[in-house]
Amino acid sequence: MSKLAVAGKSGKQQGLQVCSICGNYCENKTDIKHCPTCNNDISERKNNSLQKTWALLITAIIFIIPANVYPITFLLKNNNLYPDTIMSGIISLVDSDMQGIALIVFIASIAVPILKIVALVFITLAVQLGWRFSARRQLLIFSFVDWVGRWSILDLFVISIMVAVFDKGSLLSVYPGVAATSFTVVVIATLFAANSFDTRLIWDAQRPEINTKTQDKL
Amino acid sequence: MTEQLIDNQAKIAKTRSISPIWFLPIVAALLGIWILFQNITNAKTSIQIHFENAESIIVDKTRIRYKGVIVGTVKKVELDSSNGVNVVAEIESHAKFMLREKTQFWLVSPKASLTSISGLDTLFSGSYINLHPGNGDDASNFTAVLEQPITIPDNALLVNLKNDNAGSISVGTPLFYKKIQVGEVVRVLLDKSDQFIHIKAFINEKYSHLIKEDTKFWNISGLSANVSRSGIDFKLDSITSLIAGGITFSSPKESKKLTENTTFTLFENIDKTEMGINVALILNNITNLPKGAGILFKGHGIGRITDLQYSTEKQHFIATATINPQFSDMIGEGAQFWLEKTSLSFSNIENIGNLITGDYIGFSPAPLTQKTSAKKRTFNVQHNKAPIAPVLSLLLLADDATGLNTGDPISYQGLEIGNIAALSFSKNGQYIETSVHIYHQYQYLVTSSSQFYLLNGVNIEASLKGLEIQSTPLKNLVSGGIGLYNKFPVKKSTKLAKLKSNIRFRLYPSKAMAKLGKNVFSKAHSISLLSKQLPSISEGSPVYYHKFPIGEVSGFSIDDSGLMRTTLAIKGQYKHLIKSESVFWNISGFKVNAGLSGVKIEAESLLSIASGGIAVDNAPAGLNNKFKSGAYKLFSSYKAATLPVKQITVTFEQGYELQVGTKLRLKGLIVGEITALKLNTQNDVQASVDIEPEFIQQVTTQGTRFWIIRSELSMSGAKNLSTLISGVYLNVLPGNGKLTTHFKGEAGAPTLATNKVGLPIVLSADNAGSTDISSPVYHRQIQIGEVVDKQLKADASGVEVTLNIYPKYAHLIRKNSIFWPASGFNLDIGITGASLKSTSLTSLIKGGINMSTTDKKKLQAPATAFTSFKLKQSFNDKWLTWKLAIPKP
Repeated sequence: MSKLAVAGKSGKQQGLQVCSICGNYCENKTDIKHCPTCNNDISERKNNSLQKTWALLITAIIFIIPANVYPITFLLKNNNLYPDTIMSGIISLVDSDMQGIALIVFIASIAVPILKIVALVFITLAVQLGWRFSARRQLLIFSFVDWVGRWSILDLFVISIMVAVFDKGSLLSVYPGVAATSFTVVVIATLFAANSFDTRLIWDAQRPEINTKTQDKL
Repeated sequence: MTEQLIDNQAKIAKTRSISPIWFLPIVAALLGIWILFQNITNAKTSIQIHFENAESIIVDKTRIRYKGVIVGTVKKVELDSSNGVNVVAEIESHAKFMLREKTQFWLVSPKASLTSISGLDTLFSGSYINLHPGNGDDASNFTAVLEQPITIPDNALLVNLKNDNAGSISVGTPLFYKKIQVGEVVRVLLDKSDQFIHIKAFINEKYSHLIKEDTKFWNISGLSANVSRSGIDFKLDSITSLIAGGITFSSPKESKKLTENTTFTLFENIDKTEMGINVALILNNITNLPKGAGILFKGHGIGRITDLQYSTEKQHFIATATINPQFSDMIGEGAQFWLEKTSLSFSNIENIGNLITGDYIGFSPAPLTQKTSAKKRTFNVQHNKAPIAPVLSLLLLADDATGLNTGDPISYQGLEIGNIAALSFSKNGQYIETSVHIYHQYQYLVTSSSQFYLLNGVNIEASLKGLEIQSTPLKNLVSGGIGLYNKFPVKKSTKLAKLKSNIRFRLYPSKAMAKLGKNVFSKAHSISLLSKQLPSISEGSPVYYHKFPIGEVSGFSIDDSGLMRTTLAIKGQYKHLIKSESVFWNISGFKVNAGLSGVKIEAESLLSIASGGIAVDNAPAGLNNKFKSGAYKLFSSYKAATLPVKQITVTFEQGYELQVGTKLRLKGLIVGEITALKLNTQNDVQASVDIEPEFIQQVTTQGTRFWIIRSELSMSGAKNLSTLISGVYLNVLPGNGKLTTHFKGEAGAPTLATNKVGLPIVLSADNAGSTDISSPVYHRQIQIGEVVDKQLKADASGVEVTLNIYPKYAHLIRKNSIFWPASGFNLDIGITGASLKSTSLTSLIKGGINMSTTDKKKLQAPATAFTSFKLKQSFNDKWLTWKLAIPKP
């Protein structure tokens, strides 16, 4: 608390580090492992942040394929099994004149996960490669990804309810498909990816000299 | 410096490391590769099926199934350029091997017809395309078949049938064996020459052994009616076969196994198969015998005449008949055929239907004992149903021949078992000899104990017993007949008892008579009874022996001795029941025993109520049951007959309410009653009492005491109130002396003390106080006895009160017991108030005596009879607190 933070410079440059929980900052000393205010673990930068982000993103990218190609639900109606992929579900919604719902499903189940992955890949790449890109925009994108991430679990929520509710044996039942699991993996992987990404790296990327310096150090 | 320091230290922390999180994408990648691999290997095959129309085929919904397994999905439906539609379907990789040239596809949709309902599941799940794999090369273009192809089960036997026309045989027509479906027609084709129909059918493997070389197949389709003069013969095998047709077959047992692919002929019906046994029947003339006339066995058609021909050589007709093979065992040596013609006679009309339908042939089988050793196939047809086997000839003796005609039937329990052959007079002219024939198969029914009776007419027997109308069948009303009666049912298995050749049976006039047996013909036994008065019976009143009627009253007259004579006629068969010691008594009417206890009516039987009756039984020996003249006495009742009452006389000073009929009771039981009351010379009332026989020993002994029980009403209570209504009665207390007949009655009950019932105790007191006879004696407020007597002492110095302590309390009285009067009440008036003491309300009214024994001293010996105690005049409260335990002896 001896030093006052100055605007326009990163904390690292000022020898300060901020606590992610309470938001207070303190001097960046080697022996400080815990926030003096709230005793939370603190570090200058998250450890292996980019690696983790990349690993989770790649997982998500792999799983988003079966999530969209394979059936997400099986509807057992009158002894007949009707598999439905996410897309076929949206199409049948459009067919039955429910474009509004189709749009919501499309955004929540297809657009958002893909956009999330794309946005995270972009930001991570920007940090990794030190692209000179508006830090403000990058942060905005990240905040959006962080905020919207929780909504993509909606689909799974609906499926889990359907599976529980439609359980009339061979007359009418719903079973989750392979895509449901894959989709869950995608959602969780992107959530964790967003979480493991250290936004402060964006600032480091803005100052290539420091960045290179850190790079050297790395 | 600081930076350097940091740098030096930082090197440890910032070594390049690979995060374990990379494990995740590696796993994901592996999974992805695996899924990809799966996708490639399970690539679906696209096929095209040509359909006439695509009704109920839905893209992506309609499945392709094989044995219920989904093997593909319709992906596209497009119009064929020429005709129909092409359905493009994707078949899953595991079912690819079934896509051969000969593979068949057809659409399964719900179908309901009269014979079957199929594809019901598709009602809900939607239609699907079924696949039946065939052979050939791999193919991807198919043409759907219209209907489900008949699938021949594995290992089924294929049978070729040939017929002139298809009849109602079509693909799917079932094959039955004994009404069980064993196979199905799979193909109906026209022969190359266009003359025959080739039918291919399969028999399920498990029934394939039923087909043999000589198997005959015939059509059982629809309804077959054979209309001829002998009637219309409808034949319907099953509703299914009515609608869908059917084929059935029969295989001779001996036939060889089917070896090669033979072609069988399909016959139009069973007759055409000529499976029946052919029999030649020789007739002299065939008047009214149509071709196709039936052969009936006990009314059941077993065959049919198929051909009639006249043989000029032999001058007779030969009828060829076909007999149902299942009756083949019956055709053989000994079997008989005869012509059943219409017969009209007064007594019966037979086969009148033949007038319209023509005659038919009757049949009786060969005796079963002769095993089909000789297979005779040519028979002479008789003109009449001949006696099948040697008949049993019997001679019946009848009193008169009324209602008997030659040819009349002999029946047993309604079944005709023979007929009357001849009627003639017996040699001595006494009887009519009826010669009867019993058919062979019923001969076992006739035993030496059999009885025959006349069956004719109506037998009306009207009496008080009721109206009994016995009528035989109308036939017998007109023509009569004879019935056979066996007392015990005869088993068929019983060996034919050899009847004596000269045996003669009696012909009883009725079944009832027959039941009675031969004694019917023996004369009734006449018995005379004498009585003072005529019993209330009439002629015809029954005579019972143990309630069984054995005779009847035949007449009344006045005997020389002035007594009334009743003549009984005892049926012959029961005359042995009448012995010299028999007693007769009247059971006419009914006895009413009405008392307070209810009304009791006794009657022998309803019949005896109305018409009276006489009962007879064997009396114990030594009974005076006859008059000197030898005639039996007629008693008024059994009791009167067997147990005469004893009469005693009891004299009373006062008659009170005694009257004739007053009962005599011993411990409540009625043991007798007063039959007469009169004043004797001493002006005493002399009652004559009849004692019931069984009580004579107890009641008529010396020392027996009689007293009158009347109702008593006093302040202290009411006694014997029931006698107010039922009247007084005499109580009796048996004595134990010698038998005697004269007694002296007492006005009241004897004091029990003198009777030694309980423990008599004498109390001496200055005065009697409120103590009275029957005043209670209390111990702890429980009545343990009563005062039975009080009287002045001999010297009048005091009073002696005699108590009777009830036996069960007798042990309570000890030598040191004290007694004090419990009568009245004590009134204590003091400053604290008034206290009223009284033992009980009863004692307040009746007076009484209290008893207690001190517990201060040892328990003393019980008091003996007539022990004298002093009655305390004053009372001490302490006495009530004594708690002496007195053990029961």
